[in-house]
Amino acid sequence: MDFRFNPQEEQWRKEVRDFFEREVTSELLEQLEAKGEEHSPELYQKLTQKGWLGLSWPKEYGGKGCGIIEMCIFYEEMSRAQAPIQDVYRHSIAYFGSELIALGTEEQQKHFLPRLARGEITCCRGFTGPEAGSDLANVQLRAVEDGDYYRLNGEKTFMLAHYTDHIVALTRTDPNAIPKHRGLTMFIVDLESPGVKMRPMWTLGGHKRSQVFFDDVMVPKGNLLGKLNRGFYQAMEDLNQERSGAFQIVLLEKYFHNLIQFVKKSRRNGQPLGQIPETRQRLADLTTGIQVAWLISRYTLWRQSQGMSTDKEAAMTKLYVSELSQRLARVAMDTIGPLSLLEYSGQSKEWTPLMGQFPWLYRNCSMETIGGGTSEIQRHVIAMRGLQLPRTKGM
Amino acid sequence: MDYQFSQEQEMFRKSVHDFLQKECPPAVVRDVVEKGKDYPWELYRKMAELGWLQLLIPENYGGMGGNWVDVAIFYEEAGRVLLPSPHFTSAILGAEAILALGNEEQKNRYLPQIASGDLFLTLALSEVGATSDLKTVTTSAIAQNNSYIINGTKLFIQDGEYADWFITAAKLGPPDTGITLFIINKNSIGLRCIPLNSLLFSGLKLSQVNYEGVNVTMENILGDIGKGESITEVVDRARIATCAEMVGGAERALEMTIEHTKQRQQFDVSISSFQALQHRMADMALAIEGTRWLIYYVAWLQSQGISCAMERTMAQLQTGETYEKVAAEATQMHGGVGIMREHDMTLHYSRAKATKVILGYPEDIRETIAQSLDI
Repeated sequence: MDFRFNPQEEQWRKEVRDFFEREVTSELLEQLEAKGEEHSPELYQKLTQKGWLGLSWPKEYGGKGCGIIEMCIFYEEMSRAQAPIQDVYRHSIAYFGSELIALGTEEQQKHFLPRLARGEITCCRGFTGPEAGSDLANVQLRAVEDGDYYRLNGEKTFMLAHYTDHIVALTRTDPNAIPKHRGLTMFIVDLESPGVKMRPMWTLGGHKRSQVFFDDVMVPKGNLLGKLNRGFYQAMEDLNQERSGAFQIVLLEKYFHNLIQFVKKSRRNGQPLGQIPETRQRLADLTTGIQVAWLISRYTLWRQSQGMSTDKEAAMTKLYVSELSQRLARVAMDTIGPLSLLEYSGQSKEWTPLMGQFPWLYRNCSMETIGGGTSEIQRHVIAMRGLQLPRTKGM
Repeated sequence: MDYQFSQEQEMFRKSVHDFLQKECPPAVVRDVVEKGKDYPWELYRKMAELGWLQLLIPENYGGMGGNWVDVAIFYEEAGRVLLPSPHFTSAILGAEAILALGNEEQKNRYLPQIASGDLFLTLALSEVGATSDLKTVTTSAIAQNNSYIINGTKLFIQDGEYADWFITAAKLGPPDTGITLFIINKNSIGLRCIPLNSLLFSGLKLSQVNYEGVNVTMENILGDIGKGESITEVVDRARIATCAEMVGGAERALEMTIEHTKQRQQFDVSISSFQALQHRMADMALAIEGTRWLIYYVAWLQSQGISCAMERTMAQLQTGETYEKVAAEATQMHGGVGIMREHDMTLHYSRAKATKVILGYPEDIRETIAQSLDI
């Protein structure tokens, strides 16, 4: 039993941290903010020079062969610096890259992997649709064989497509399949293809997500990823994605630290805020929650690094961390009071504490118990895989 | 990073588990908890033979030189079966107090006998108005001819009725001040121990101890005169055992709930297929998982000699909330049968609350954590 990272891992953390501390400047973040963007292609390019686009891929595919623990550290440090490339990195390199390696044809691998590694192309995951949230097998985006192509018609929602040039679209190729899970297929689609249209969908937290419309989009058969009608099962395989959620806890810890700093220097009705017993009690709960989150997360990470199953543990981590983040946002706003209502813009800027971090967190954390599997689905997974309870009718 | 127990630790767990399954079935627990019978001393003697009273005692004092991770493993298993035993008060609290504060002679006198199970020690610290802050103790110790005269009343003394010795906190009379600890024999003239009736089915054996002019010689002072508050650190360290016991109890309560809901049929289906129950069981499992790792993290830090006052307090907060919540939910999901005295769920329901209260006031625990936030 040992709860520490080893010296090589600490060394790797330092290297990654130094890089992002240097590269993610406040100017960079402000420029993006002014443009209303959240991805920096310039920073993303810089990862090419480091050879970090493809960290987790095996060496024979041009990667660095990093293990789960090294990847976790990498994500943590990207997150700590709030590097504006994290989503695109995860989707392009971790998701699409791993899918290509596991499922792609030699041709697909030769075409896409080097381009991904050079940062020339990016690709988002395209599973969810308006009709397929928790019930992913209900995907309705239709793909019909048409000569050397598949013809796509339908829609995807909540996509990262505004920041990428490709999408791995999960489509319905067999509308009569029983069960419906057996009729889905993945395609790699160039978002420049004729017939693709996009509309931004803004989240409450200010993330630009996309509604992607497919209107007779012709996708070459060579872009079918994996096997025909096996798309659902391919989507369910996590392909050794890092699942500890640690990158989120890093941020929570940072926000909590900021809240403490605020409490230390603020007064309420003349009394130092930090002396109000109820406030102290609530902060004690939060810091305990963060400690617990770390342990569950690290346990998940360790299991994964040992090749053990992590279905239950990853679901627990996701559930705990996302709910903790909402708890933090709510308590922080209660604690800060009316000042926490002021967004960091216009005249409000003069008053807003912590650059409006908490109104933003409150808005943004609403997403965390929904995206990537709702809390209800996580509880379902814990109940099924962890506690071996019988299925509810319809689930 | 290694979240795995060592082979020795796994073997230790297995031997504790197997032993308790065999020697401590629900009937044994019920004899003590329900019928108010004596602790099963035969079981205690067997544990002594197995060396399990020596988990914290170094080899040079007749022990095995285990560490806090071993203690946590032992207590997690003990909590699962609700082991009725004065093990905690004597072999953990008492032993740790002597080990941390005692002089060489005291260590040699008490530790080997604690290890062999021939002697019981308990702490007599709290009073009716002084349960969490030793400074408020009113029991007095007045110096007189090379000895001290103790007067006062102690309350909530765990396993007091079995103790041979009471480690008693008393306030020195003028001119000295401060709290001092005295090791006082049960047969001292003027000392009387009276058992109290505690929360039904909790298995907790609390006593009142009266001191009326009890004479204690200098050699029975534990630690430095006037520095008796250092015992709170000992109690705090020892509580990781209570936490582990509680999480073991929570694990068992969840298992019983899963078994019950799977087997129970209503509306022609097993009620375990209802999401209204499944999601709550998932929450129970999550609370247990996080709590368990927090406890082992603290146990590991303690065994490494790494300071962990804050983490330890967090473990107390987290464990109290978890066992209480899990036991209440488990009881609810058992429906009518779960609140019948003949059902073992009632034991967990009471035990959870009792151990939580013993851990300390939740407000105090949170306040202690807040203090380390330095706000």
